Amino acid sequence: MDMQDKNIDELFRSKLDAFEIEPSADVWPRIAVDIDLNKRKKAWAPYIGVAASIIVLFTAGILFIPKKEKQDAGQPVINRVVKTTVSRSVTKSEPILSGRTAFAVLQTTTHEKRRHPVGAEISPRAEAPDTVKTSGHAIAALATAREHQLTDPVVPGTATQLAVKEVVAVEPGFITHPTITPVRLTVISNTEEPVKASHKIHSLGGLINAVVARVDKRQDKVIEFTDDDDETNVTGINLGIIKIKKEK
Amino acid sequence: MMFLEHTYTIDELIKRCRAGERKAQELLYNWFASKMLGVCFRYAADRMEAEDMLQNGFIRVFQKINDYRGEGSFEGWIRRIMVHSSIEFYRKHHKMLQVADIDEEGREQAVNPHVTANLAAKDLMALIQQLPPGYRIVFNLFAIEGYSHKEIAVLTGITEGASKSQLSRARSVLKNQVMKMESKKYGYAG
Repeated sequence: MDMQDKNIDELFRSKLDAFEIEPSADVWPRIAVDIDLNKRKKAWAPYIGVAASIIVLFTAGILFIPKKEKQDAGQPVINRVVKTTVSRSVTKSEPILSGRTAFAVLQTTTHEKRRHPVGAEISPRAEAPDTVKTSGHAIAALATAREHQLTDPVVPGTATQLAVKEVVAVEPGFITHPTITPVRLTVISNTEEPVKASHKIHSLGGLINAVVARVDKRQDKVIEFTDDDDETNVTGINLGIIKIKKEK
Repeated sequence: MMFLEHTYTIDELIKRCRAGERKAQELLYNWFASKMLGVCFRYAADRMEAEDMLQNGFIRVFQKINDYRGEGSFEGWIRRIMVHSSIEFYRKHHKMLQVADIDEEGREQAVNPHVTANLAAKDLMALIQQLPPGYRIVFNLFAIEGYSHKEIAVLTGITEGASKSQLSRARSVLKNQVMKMESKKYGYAG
């Protein structure tokens, strides 16, 4: 009588299903070593991600910055921006004076538009004797000497960083080297509530996204990460020719 | 001085393993290692391969222990991981589950079911281990683990047809080998 297929299956299942055999003594130590190695790898993983991001940002910076300089070189107007501190990405420029030399107060906010005129609230303080002052008198004096353009005063937000932008129009053949000294502007009073960031950063990925967003204004950033509490993963890479984007 | 060793339930061990406690991991390993090596042994050609599969399997168990939601038995969960680990081992080391045609030695012979009941488990294990990897994996998955041909196809990367064909050949080889074993042991000629 031929043994049926089910019988041979049953024979092996019944004998081998509960088959036990003692492993060698060195198996557990090998497992323990592997677990430790995996832990170390996991510990390094975020740092490797950060290092890779820095390299990508640095490379992107090298690629993008020279282009801007070339564009500026072709223009007859030389823009010089003297800033004390800048910490935000979006910058609004409101010219105060018009003419060959114009001063502008740079207002840096996160996303909101200016709310109140604040010309009187700004009290510029010169640090050096030849510092260009932005007070009423100084502006008037400069206006007569250099045909300044008078513009609207600017309202900074609460956590506003202020800086002076000097735009010098120089005719060909009369290029001079204006001495520009940093001016520190202070906000005397500002009763508004501090500007709240509209996006919270949840993880390292979110932080890198914020930094990249400053440098790279394209819709698809050079590198994008997830901003989850759990883990940080790359969701998109845009190197111009090579563009990878993970679908959400 | 008397030392008392604390005994843990499996749930306590799982909880402590989730916290990454090394001692608990070792205790959990000791609890299941023999049973799971028995599983890996069926997929391996020898003891060394089986222990490599066991090692990879337990590393994965500790990595994925947070994924165990308590649905079904924990032993069943570990066993599935061991089976997957064994198949992955073959995919890694043998690239594909290709099978060479082996001599099935003519017609299938009859087997006496009453006599086969006396065959030792280690003898049957030796028969399985002599099978080519493709036959061995498909026979184990279908006949012992209870997977369907569709599931085997997904797991191993072969077609359903190839799975059926390899199972049929594996059965044929095993029947012949069992017959030979019986005749040697009991002088049964069929």
